[in-house]
Amino acid sequence: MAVLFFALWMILNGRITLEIVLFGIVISGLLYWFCVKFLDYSPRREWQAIRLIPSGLKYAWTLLCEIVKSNLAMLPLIYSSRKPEPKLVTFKTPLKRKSTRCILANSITVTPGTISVYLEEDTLTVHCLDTAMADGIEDLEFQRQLLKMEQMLEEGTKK
Amino acid sequence: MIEWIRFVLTALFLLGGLFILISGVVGQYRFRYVLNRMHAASMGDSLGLMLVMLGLCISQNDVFVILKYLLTAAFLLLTSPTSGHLIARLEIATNEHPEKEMELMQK
Repeated sequence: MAVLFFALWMILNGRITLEIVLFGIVISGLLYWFCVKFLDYSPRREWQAIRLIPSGLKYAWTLLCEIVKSNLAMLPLIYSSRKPEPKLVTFKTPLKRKSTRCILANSITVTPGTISVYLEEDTLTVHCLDTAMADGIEDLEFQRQLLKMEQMLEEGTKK
Repeated sequence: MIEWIRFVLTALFLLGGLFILISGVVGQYRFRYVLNRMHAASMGDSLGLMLVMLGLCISQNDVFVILKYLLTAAFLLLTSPTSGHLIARLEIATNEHPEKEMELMQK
């Protein structure tokens, strides 16, 4: 996390000089201390997060591909005279953690054509613009990858 | 030569992004219901902005400027679903007859 703060500081500064680097180290160190003390961060949990980086990057890649695909699927709907058939689908997710459920709901919202309306416990309500988009909604690629990540996290906590 | 390739790539990405953004606006006027319109709006948020940012990234020499563009894109991707979710939730919560506008399904 401290490394992330430092990277953000460097990006926003836009130059590399001794002064900026030293200030950056001090400030990111202080911020990290604040996070550990008040925001419930701990180095142990961060090690778990670091182990998830490869699958996280893979997830981001799938998300990008899905965004491009669903955008291209939206174009004919907009420019043709056919009326869309909206649907409100309610389904249960097998995901157990709050954080992964939240990621799933946000991924669904960010791909055009589907918006998640409610997320209560394990029930998700999704609004789909067209019937074709609602078909495979309860078994998305996102969900499979998130399930894998969840399993990895649980193995990490057992050890 | 390289300058030319870069210029063409930038122009292509910017035009692509612009086309997606315009389609989003057109979609907003074609659809007649709030939630349908939101789908069109989210197109511009996701792919449109990403293409524009990619085009700008290619046009720049400075690494830090490119990183700033990528940071902007990442933050937009993080924040836009949150606000979209809130609007959708409000609409469904206050609509007395949602079945008139859409088909309800339970899986």
